[in-house]
Amino acid sequence: MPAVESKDVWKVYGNGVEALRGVSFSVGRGMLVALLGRNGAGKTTWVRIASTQLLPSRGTVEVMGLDVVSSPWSVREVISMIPQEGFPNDLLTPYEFVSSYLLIRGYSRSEAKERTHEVFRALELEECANVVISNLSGGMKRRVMVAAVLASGSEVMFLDEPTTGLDPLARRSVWRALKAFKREGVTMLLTTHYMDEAESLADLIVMIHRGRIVFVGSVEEAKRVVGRPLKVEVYGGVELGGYEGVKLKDMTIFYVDEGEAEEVVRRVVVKGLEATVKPTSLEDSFIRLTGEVIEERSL
Amino acid sequence: MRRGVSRQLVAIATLAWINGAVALRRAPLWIIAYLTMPLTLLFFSHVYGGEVGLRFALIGGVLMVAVSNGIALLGDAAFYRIYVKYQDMLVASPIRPTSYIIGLSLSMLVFSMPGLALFVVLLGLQGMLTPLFSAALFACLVMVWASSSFMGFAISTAFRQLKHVWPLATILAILLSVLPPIYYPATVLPQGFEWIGALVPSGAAAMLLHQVAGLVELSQATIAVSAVLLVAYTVAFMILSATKVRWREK
Repeated sequence: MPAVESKDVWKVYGNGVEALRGVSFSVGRGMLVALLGRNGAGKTTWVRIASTQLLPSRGTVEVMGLDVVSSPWSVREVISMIPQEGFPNDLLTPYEFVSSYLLIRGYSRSEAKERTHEVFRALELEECANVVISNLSGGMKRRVMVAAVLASGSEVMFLDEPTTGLDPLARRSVWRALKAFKREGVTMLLTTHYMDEAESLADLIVMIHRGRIVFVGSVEEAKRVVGRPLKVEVYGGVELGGYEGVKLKDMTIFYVDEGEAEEVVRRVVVKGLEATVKPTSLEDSFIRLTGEVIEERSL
Repeated sequence: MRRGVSRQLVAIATLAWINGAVALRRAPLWIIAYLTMPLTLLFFSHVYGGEVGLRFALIGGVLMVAVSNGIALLGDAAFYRIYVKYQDMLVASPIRPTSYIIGLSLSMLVFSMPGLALFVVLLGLQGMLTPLFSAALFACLVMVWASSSFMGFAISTAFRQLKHVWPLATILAILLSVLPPIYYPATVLPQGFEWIGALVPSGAAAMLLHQVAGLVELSQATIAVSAVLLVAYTVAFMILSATKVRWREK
């Protein structure tokens, strides 16, 4: 039995917007899944349906074999989630926020205390455990949210952009903690804009574009979608005979083999344009599949 | 791991603790903020109304503290749902929506405790805490707190943005604790229409307390209507908040 199974999930809002259009994929137990997609692609909508906060218009999601629509209370026993742009209560300390969340979930005081300290060690939050949250940075607040969910001991965790706003060091601290909890058999589904995050953490990549799944597979499989090891980025629109370029908003990308890169650059420079050669990445798989970048600022 | 009723009771107590006791300890200025209006009215009522004015203002003060803190749940509930998304986090957990509502409501009672204690002490110093009045005061306070906070929660569910929530809570607090016959006797209303004062929970409670304190002489029918309406408001707002809570959106 998979940990999470999404079958033909549709969500059509009252204003007619189709946020999800037949989303189907399956997640094995103990896997860490990265849901990738542009803003408004439908990632958060899917997470909200799977975590029992929103009803689908059609289709089913099962978590640990339990239907999220017909058995929400059974599902809620085994899940936890960090909402997108969610923050802890400013008047509490991180220790109070996390331990109170655990008490609410049903842990005893001693269990809550023990688990809170354990997760604070993993996330390097011990020093600020008793600092009032209003005095912490946005990134630290986000880590406190991650701590609460990791401490919950849920079998399936949904993390909606858990590392948004974190500095690189803090992100790596969260990654280490996620990897450690994954080793304990926890299934995690996280949405992210960060390609390096998905590459570093995910066993499975699910790319969503305009409410539809455009790719499901491993990082290596995703990279194979591009088919070439290098890309030549040209700022501006340009056409080169014999080479097929992907035209984006203000850039053209040519995917090439190592022997072709020099020739492409030479022909671009002749046209008076600048070119940059880079190795292809997960971002390029997304571009290949959708013709769009995940996030403008990521290039 | 706790399950069943004991888990829900602990969840209620935990919410009351973090949103009431801890918040009170970290932001004590709020006590002064919510006491400013009732203490000001107490001062002016005493200056211009003498001994009787003081007694009305003491009853009014204790009710105003309960109403203003209860209705303030409008802001807290909306803040948790819209801004910090704490409600979303709790939806994906075993806590029941009724436990969430009751826990947050209790937190407002905890938050109002210092103010209530001050007014109860003043009532005692004024010699008003007879056994009958104390029992009536306790019952009325419980129902005014419960109905105001459940009303606040129910109203909060209608908002998708925070910008209108805080001013509305302030406006409602003033309307519900000054406009009805709380600081003045219901007998100034047209004869036969005193029951109009009982059209909001705080008004109904005030009319009962004024009667028990011997400040007014209302008809048996008006007293009965006030008592029934007070209980009815509490039950109605409890049901309304439980049905309006957006635990899963469509």
